[in-house]
Amino acid sequence: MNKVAALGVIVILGIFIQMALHDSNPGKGAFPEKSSSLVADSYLTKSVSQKAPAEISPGDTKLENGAANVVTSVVVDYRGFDTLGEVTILFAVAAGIGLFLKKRPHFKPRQPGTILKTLVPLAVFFIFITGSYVFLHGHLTPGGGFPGGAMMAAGVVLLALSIRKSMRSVFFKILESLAGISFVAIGLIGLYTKGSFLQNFLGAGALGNLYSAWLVMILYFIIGIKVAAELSSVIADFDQMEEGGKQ
Amino acid sequence: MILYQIIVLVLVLVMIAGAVAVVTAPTNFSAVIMEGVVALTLALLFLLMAAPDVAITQTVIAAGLSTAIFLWTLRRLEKVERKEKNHE
Repeated sequence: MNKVAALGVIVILGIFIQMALHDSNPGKGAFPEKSSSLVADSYLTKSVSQKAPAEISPGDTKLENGAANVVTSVVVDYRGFDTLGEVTILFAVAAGIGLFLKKRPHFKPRQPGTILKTLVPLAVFFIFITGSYVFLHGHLTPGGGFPGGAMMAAGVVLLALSIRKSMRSVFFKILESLAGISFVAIGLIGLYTKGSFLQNFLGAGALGNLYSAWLVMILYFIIGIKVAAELSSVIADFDQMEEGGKQ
Repeated sequence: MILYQIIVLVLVLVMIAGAVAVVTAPTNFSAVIMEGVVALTLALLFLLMAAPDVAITQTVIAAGLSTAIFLWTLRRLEKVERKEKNHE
């Protein structure tokens, strides 16, 4: 009975979403009257406070934002404050889990096998390289701080499974706080030098170069470290919980 | 274009079947695994619809990390259940 009711709710929800997406009246649904009246359009042409260029091509230096990947230029530069909020939510999650799962057994009851112990260091090496590539190239290729940080945290899962002692989350929490402080500090530097919080004070650079869009690059580095540390501290808390002999 | 639509349709059908399987799964373990399958199929859909950013995040977080954390929690819950059974 319950399952039938749940299925019914899901079907009704699906119909609503379908209706909202296919509302064909102009100005409603997913099709607005004209796309150039949207703020997203000026994000795409990188022209919020200046005249839109006729065409954006690799090597342009006079753009507002030098990130070749439009998604990251919106997420970190134009909407950087929202990203700060998202990272804060992740922090709250990690802190809450740390509050509820606070136990510190020393050794795990079940020891890792030989295969895990031998292969994990090699695998984790490559996982960390891929993760840091994803967040350091966030302004050029798909990816960015969130997936890169989560990738590194996945490496930490493997590490937690392969070591004999249980992991402690203190180190991750310190790292995470440092990253959060530097995020806000960069925002304040923008406020001091350019007049608004998280404003780009480093210049755009040439579109498509590795060394371009400095603000996006630095902020994504910080976000990557922060997300990796937060998710790793969640994992370390779960790892501590593992023994649970004395409830 | 027709091929693209057929592939998308098949993937969506796989996702719906997976979601039904999550609700009706016999054990918690198989429910978690099916949820990972649904997440991975969604990532494939994102990739087909030219959103690689979202696809990477979906693969890493929904299909990878949250499945791992669900399994961790599940093992813990089973241990607690066994202990309660021993007490009775």
